[in-house]
Amino acid sequence: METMTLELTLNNQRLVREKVDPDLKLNDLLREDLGMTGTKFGCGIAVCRACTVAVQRVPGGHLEPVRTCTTPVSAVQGKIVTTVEGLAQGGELHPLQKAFLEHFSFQCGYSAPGFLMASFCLLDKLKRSPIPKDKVDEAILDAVGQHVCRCTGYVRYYEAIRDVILATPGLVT
Amino acid sequence: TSGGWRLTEGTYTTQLIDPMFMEPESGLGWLDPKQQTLHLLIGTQSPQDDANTAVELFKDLEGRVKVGTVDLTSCYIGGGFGGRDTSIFCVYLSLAAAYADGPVRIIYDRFEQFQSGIKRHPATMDITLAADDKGQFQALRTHAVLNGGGRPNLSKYVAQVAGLNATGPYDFPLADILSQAVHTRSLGAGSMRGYGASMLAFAIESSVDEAARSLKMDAIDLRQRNVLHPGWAISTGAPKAPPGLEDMCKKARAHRLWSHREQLKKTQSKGDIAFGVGFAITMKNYGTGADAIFNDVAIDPLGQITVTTHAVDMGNGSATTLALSTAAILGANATSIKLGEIDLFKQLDMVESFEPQPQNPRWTPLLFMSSKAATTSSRWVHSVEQSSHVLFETGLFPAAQSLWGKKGDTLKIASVHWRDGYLTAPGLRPLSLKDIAAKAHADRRITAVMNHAFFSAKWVEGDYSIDGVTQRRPVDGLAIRRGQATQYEIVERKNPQLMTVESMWEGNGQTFGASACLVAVTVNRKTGEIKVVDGVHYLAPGKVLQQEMVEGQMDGAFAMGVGHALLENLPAFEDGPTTGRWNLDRYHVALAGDSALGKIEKVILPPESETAPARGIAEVVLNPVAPAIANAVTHAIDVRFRDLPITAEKVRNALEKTRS
Repeated sequence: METMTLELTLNNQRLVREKVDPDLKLNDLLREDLGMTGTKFGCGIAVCRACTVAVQRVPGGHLEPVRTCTTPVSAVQGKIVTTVEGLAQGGELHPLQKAFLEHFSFQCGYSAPGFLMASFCLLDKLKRSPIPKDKVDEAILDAVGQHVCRCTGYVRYYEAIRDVILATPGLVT
Repeated sequence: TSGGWRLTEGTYTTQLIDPMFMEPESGLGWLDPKQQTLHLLIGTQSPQDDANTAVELFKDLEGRVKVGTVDLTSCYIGGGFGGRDTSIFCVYLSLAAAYADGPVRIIYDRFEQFQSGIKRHPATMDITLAADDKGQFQALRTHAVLNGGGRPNLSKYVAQVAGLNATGPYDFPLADILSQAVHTRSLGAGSMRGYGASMLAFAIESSVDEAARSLKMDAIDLRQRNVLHPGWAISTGAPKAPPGLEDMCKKARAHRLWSHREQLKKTQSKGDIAFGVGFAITMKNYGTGADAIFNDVAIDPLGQITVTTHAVDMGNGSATTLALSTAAILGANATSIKLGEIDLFKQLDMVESFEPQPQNPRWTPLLFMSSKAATTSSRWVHSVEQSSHVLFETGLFPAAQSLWGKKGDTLKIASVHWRDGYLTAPGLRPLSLKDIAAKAHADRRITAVMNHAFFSAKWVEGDYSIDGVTQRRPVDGLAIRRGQATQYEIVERKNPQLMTVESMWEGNGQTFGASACLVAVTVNRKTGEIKVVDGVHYLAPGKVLQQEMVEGQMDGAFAMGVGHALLENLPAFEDGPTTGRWNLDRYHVALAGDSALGKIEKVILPPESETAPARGIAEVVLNPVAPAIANAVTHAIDVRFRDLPITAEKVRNALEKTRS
């Protein structure tokens, strides 16, 4: 079997792994090999988006949501990956995490990491290209509208994300 | 017509549905041959049932594998909706673990979850509704057949609940109800949110709309004339209808969506787009009619409260609600909630049998129930409150009296109150919970209380004597622990008011809640696409324990109801999920864009009295959504769909037929 040396940045830490199957799914690397179960496995076919993480090509680059269940590790070689475990900084929850808690956004919690990471990418996008306030709902729908949740009916996820966007300076014109 | 009554007849069908909880089933298992103990770690709604199933599997088995004990660890689960209640998964895991050479892990992928997991029963329901010319319901005949599939699960009980709810929220002087689950070669169906009643709700509420049309009456007016009033007996045998039904009808009738629906239909229907408004109202039992609860409330020397229970959380509602439910009595929320615990409660030494043992103070009809049927708010909270009361009265209050010295000796328990985490009494210094807990531990007073409670229309109660004081309490087993001791002392039950299986049956221990839905849809006549665009969701929960969680249940149920009405569908037989080729690419659940996000108003009726119970709401709140959508579609395009889901293809075909 062809193998590769995998090198990437994971939650601000350099990760090097020898003899990795290039087709190993990023989800399996995270959950099985590294024991980082914050990233979930839902459908395995890139539909439900519970497995979403944020990926940057280079430092300072755009944050893109990536579905780990179908993404081979070879596709994130040399890139910068942030999972839900990497959101909190210095023991302080990310504003999105705080907002999810304050809004009672999640119930079983299984979809929550996917929602967090996709909306984390949305914040990055809006920081680069702020939008008018009346376009915020549309932008949220665009960012997380395909995410599946079975418990919540989505309402409180959207409220929390909207609150964070409006409360973060520079995202809305 | 028949005998002067106008008859509305129809056959309604609902589809095979997957609960589609987000985390596929998984578990670990290993056998310790020396101890003959099978260890299982599963995310399950029914830890006790699963453990019993595993024991049963190996009972009296000849061969190399010996299993004397099953040690089951219950994990946090990523959603349940009934689909993890007595799942076959435990059987597979137990067998694999027992016969493997080492530990075993089974993880379903989503294809396997669709292939193997418990489903909602597809139902066929024949309904004849008889009303007189004034719109008074006179009789109902409902014959429902539920496809239980090839493996016995909870179909028997689902059919019972379907039958129990087969008259909807209405008063019928005459009712002929037949509800049966049948064995077929399709995939096994069992428990799922709504539990039989959701299918019947679609049939009854469609039928009532059809009757209104035939009687040329306003469909909500017809409902309002016939809904049960609080406390009325229900035709299917339960003693008490819930409050809120008439009020919901009145509110919905007055709502702009209903009062202006014809005008809205005219103004909102443009080109291929047809606009319609529909309403449905439901009631459903919460609890099972025989609910058995264990819990333990303990306080440590630092004043930290721990609640331990055999309840399992499907979301975070149980843990949150149980944490809150100590506050009024013990002055603080619980800081730790241990869920899915079974072993601890062996210390109560309760004996379970359907045969009554009236002389045995440890007898109960039922030890455990699984976490389902929207029982946290109504059942588990009661049990936690009872343990908290005993802990306060017999442990913390006497400790506080000691701290207050002589002035505390004569103090009555009624004259103390919690204020901002401090126990206060007139003229005495406020005491922190931490100080009281430390004193209780130092003096070896009661610091933990465990109970078993049993409910069927009412709680079993008995007299319990602790330290010379006898109190009548609504629990059927009680034990206490002092200071830092690990062993509990059983407090024997005396003079109990017990229930027998017969008395439960005759008294019909069911309790009900009510919910309704008013919804507006657009139907694209060309593509057949239906979109929910506006609505109101009504709920009468009684006492609200946690507002955001009640609202969260309403939001989640609404989206799930949209899925059931319009999207979710599995073939029951050929090409169905047993092929292993089903996943979310073909099985569509409601996304945010399907759920009219931000457009659905939530109306929570206030509690009917100061002593209103906190009703279980998670099931009833789902049931009116799908029939309301179906009724709205009929209003929009004048076609009645008696088969769920109402797909775009069905709409196109039906409109094609009307054109030709």
